[in-house]
Amino acid sequence: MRTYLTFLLRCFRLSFVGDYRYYAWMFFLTVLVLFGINAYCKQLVYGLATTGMTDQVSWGFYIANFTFLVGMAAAAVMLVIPVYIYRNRELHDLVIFGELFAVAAIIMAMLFVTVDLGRPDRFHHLLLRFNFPVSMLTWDVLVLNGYLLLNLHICGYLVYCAYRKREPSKYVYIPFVFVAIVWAISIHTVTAFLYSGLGGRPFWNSAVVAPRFLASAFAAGPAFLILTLSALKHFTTYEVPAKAFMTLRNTVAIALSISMFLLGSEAFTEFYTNSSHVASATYLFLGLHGRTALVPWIWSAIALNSLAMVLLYLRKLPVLQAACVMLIVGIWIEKGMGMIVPAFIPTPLGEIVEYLPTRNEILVTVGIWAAGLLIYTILVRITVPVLSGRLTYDQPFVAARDPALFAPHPSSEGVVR
Amino acid sequence: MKDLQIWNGPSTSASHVEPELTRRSFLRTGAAAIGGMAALAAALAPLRELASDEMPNLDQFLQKHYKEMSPAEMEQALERIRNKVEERYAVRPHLRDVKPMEGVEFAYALNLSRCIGCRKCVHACVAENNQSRSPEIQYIRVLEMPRGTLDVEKGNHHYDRPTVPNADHFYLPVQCHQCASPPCVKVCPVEATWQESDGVTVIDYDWCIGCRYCEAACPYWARRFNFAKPNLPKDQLNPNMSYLSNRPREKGVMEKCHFCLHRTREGRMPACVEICPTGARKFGNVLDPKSEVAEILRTKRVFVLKEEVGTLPRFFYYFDERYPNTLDPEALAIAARLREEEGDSYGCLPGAAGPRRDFIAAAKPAWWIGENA
Amino acid sequence: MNQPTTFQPATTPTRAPGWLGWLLPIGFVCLAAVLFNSSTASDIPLAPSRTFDKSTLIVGPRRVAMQDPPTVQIEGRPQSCNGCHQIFTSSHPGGAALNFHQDLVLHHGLNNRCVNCHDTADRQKLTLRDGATVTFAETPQLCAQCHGTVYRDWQRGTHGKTLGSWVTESQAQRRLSCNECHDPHSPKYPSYVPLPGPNTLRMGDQSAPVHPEHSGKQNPLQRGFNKPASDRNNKVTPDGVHP
Repeated sequence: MRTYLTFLLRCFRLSFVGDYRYYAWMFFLTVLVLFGINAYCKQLVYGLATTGMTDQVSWGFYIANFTFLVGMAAAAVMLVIPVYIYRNRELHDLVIFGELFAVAAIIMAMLFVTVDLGRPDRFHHLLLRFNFPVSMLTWDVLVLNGYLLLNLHICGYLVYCAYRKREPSKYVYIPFVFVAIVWAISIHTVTAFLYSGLGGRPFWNSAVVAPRFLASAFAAGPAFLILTLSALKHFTTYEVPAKAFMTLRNTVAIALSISMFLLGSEAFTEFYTNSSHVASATYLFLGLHGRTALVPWIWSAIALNSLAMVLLYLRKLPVLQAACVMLIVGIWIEKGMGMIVPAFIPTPLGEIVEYLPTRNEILVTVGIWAAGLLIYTILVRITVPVLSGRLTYDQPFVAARDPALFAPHPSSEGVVR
Repeated sequence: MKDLQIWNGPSTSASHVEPELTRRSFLRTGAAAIGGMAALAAALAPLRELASDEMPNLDQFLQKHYKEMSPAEMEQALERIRNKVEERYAVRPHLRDVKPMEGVEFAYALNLSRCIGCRKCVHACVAENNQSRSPEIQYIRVLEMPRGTLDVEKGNHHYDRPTVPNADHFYLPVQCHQCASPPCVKVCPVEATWQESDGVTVIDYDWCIGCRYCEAACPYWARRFNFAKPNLPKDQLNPNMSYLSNRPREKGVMEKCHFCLHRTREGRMPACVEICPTGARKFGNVLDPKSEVAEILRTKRVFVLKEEVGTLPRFFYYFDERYPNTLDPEALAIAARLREEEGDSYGCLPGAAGPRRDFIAAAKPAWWIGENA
Repeated sequence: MNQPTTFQPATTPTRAPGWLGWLLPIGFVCLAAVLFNSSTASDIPLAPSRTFDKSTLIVGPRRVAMQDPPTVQIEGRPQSCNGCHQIFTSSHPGGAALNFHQDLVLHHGLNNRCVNCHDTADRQKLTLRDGATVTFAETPQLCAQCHGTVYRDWQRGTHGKTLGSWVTESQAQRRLSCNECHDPHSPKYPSYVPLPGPNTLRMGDQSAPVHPEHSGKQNPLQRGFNKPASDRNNKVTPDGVHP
């Protein structure tokens, strides 16, 4: 127990140690978080009217980001499957980074839901009267928290075992890994069912919503992992095999293709039928009754995704990173603003009130993203030294001398053995 | 060492430990920590604008769900609300918890041939139910629909004419239909909304967490959210309140039409029904065969909106046999022509024969099969 | 998992200048100043609520029905109908060019004569088709002669207005009589000035005309109308009939 507490203390101290680039990054993120906290306090005082949401468009930027991040969290499993099911040992260590990312993404998603609540001080009501199993939101609460605990357990156990320099026991983590694979699919399916079960919103009331969510998540999540691993490769001396990038790239390419196909399928069903249900899709793609606010967004998303798909097939690493950035942005638009907001326009009574996030809303959103990146950076900051054996229980902790993570630029280093 | 070394390089000997803490680094770390705390405090600064009655309150925190409160706990909650209303509005309200009547299930019928779109129902509801005036919350939305369609997308919510009704249009007011299979009740994660035995779907304003899932789920756009602190002028407060209906709400909770249950559960009519000048709105106990709504459901061709969604609303619309709001154009044309031709010597007196009756007889349409054909 | 990944530590460390480390606390203090001084006013665009004449929301019958026995106000005093009509003969049994009762507008479908409804012998009564009379308190029976279906609905409660209570046949329930809504001489229900429409948060400019989109196909229903598509606001109501 004492060793565990020491471990936690060392992790805490380690997160404050790094070179000037680390401090600059963390300071930048902290500034954004503080702006976000400030904006959220304003929202607590004045209510959700500080956002751009209205009775007509009652879910907006926050829920859009929540949806996107739940998908990203689910995509951690895309590294787990090749490693544990296909026994790809080379990628073994990288599973941790995927799962740590899942932890950060789930925390971000839960923060987004919390800031979207009108009465966050009544959170405990969820524990006292829980409309399970009828309300899909209750399912979402359960699966998201369960997923967070699963990933914390797996990562925590593996990292702590590395710290203690002992072989992790299969029975303590392997079953949970397999549960996590299924659970990851379920978190995003449940989130999709939140939307697709509503008969009053024909834009969402479609069976293809859940597959679309999963496909776009499995494209955007591994893309983010590719970017993280590229950052690791650039800023630290942690070795990332090229095979990792290629495996992830394959996943992204296939998932993106499926996602675009499903988007096309949705568009066909809406526009060919041309019933009154097409109003929301018309608003999104073409504009409705002269209101066209979302039209440039969705077409940019389609353009970005298509270009990313082309670039992915080129199989070159720098191009791969550009493709990943493009498709993350494209999927964020398509899934966030392009999925949540159009369902509210027009309203079930045919009124059109457009939605744009306000400055306050954007500050809170950026604050939460910064908090998530902060958490992720800290988790990676801790994990890399532990996994590379530089931070173990039998070594004295000298924070100032930790070289593992933030060595100088690789071009200047020599190889010393 | 003049330069600060954040990283000292690899040590040649594991036992050589560089001193971690110098005075400068201690001061610097301390300054960063204090600066960070100051920044955090500044970030939290807007919270000082919170009004005193919006501060977290232990009583409200521990208050139970409506269905779980004992009568004593309910009285305690009511007393707390009375005090709060008195403090904010300087009026002692008549606040109580009104229970449903036995053997009563409400239904609502709306005669679309009689609604003229005057919107008195909208504003009577606002006057009765203590909604926020700024931003303005209205439970009822009246649509001006062109003739021949029920596609609400073709409706106009924002008509602003010198007079209503507008020719070739009919008016479709929509409010909460208190559906028998309510999607809003299905999706609420904390069971803050449910349907009572008399058919009214109610909200416990002290239990709602403001997630707005119900607002997304409603196919009739009937639910409203308090995005800002409700702004109700003191002189417009209606002191006749009940716990589940029109007591003043706070920011961050949902609200909607509740069939004025503080009135209807005591036999009175909802505000919208009472104010409607044409009698287009009908309300009553559908289980009573002699009530107006039962008569309407039996004798008129009623329909509901968006029946395909399966919500089973208890709000029925119907058209009467006359075309709304205009006289029959044929009769008008005949009357005008008769006045022109015959002056004032035509009439409907029996036995008045002559050219005008033949004229009227001749004006019958070709398909008329009757005695005087 | 347990083989530590090999790493190659560099030989040349990064040397950051000492003052760089002070940027952090200075940055925080600046941030604190910025945050503290940032506006705490809400920038919610709250449109002022529109006012209207609150007397339009008073509950009650739209018009006061003629009492039984009927009276008219002559020089501020109520006078019974027979008071004049038993002394003077009516100059005109028709509906036009009256010397008195000029405030009345007779616009009741095909009826153009007062005597269609008013009894010639006793002006305090109303006349039915078969010559029988009813009092002014039984006005619905007169209306029922021509408007039988409406009368049937009115009896059931499905036409017309009820005040007071929904409880059937309770003391508080009051059904309004025909002429408490309809002026018998000009019974068409009048037009009203509509009360203000919705004014919700951030609703934007809602005055734009709605162009129905049918992808080039015309709705057969619209063929029967020669009128243009509905115009949204502030146009005169072309209903062609005035009370």
